[in-house]
Amino acid sequence: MSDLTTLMFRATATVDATPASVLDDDVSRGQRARRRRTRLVGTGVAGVFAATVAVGVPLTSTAPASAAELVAYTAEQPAGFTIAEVPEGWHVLSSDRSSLMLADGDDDGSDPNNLEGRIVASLVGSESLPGGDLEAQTFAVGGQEVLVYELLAVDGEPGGTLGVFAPEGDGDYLSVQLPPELHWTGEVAARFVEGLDVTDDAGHTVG
Amino acid sequence: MRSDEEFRAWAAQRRQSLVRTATLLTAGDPHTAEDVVQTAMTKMYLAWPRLRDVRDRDAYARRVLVNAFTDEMRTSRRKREDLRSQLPDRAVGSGAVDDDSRLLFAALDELPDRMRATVVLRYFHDLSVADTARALRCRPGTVKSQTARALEKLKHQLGPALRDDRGLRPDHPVHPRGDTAPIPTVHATLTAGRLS
Repeated sequence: MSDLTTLMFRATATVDATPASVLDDDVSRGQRARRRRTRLVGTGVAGVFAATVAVGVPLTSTAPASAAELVAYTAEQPAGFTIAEVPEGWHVLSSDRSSLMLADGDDDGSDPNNLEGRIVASLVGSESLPGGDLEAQTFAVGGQEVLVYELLAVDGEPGGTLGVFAPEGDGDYLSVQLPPELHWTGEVAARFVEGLDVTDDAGHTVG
Repeated sequence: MRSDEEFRAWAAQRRQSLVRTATLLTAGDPHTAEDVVQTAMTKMYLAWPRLRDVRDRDAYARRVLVNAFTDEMRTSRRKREDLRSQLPDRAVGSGAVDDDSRLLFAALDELPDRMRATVVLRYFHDLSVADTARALRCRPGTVKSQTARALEKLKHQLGPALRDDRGLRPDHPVHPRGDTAPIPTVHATLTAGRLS
């Protein structure tokens, strides 16, 4: 038998070495993207969550002992999303092609409109990124640049809720609200969201 | 800026390998492959200050490349759905150098995107099942099953092109000197042993 590897190397042998001008273009595109991102984070657009507003509260770097452990998600994948890991004891409460809601084991989902104490994920456009003078903490997780904001409740008091935004391509973001009950650091939050994916038929949240 | 210089030096070493990988991922579509690599390079640039370890950089590059490829395919599917009756068929393997390569690209084009990515990472990058699973963010068992199904399909599509051993090794001269693409350490064959 011949080998597939050889065929692959032969088939790509025509790819030339990279000219210096292409490398210059890569650097220029990177610099422009960095400037765009800085402007985007500072534009003051409204956040996606009605119940909370984002502020630049420093995120803790060490998870408390009470922090929820992440475990592999082994149940059936929900509509519109794929899940790699969940907080231990949590389950999918509801899902459709625009949003996903997770809750802990004690939550029977009797109030489907209540967001408190639940994880809510949705696909949004870049216009939904929190703005103002906010500085997101950025985590490079598994090939993704994940933005994590600490949020305040509408009364202005810090509540421990985190807002996480992970790019999904084509200018879209997976937006996830994480309740304070999880006691997660920004790093754990980013890891969890990096394990969430929208499927091809997912659509933007409306309203 | 020192960071830019470091990024540029890394890109000078690795970009060619990324374009080759993207060429396989896109089943021989050089234009889409370049788009995918440009997106991946931009993501690499943005993450660069946090990628201190050289091994992290290569693993990260694979991840962002696969993600960029997945995004590109998702976007082009949407466009195809929107303009279904207006778009001409995509040229498959237009950059191929010989008949076997054209056949390979055509066979790769028949595979679903994730399955194609699996087989490219396993056979072109010589990644282990575990590393491939990490790159594709799936379970090792999924990598094994996807690889097995991909090989079955490729074997059916390629037939003699695979069975006729041309005596070429993965490190034969067509692989330019100085290219630091991960070179397979074994002569990979379509045997069950590679799947375990």
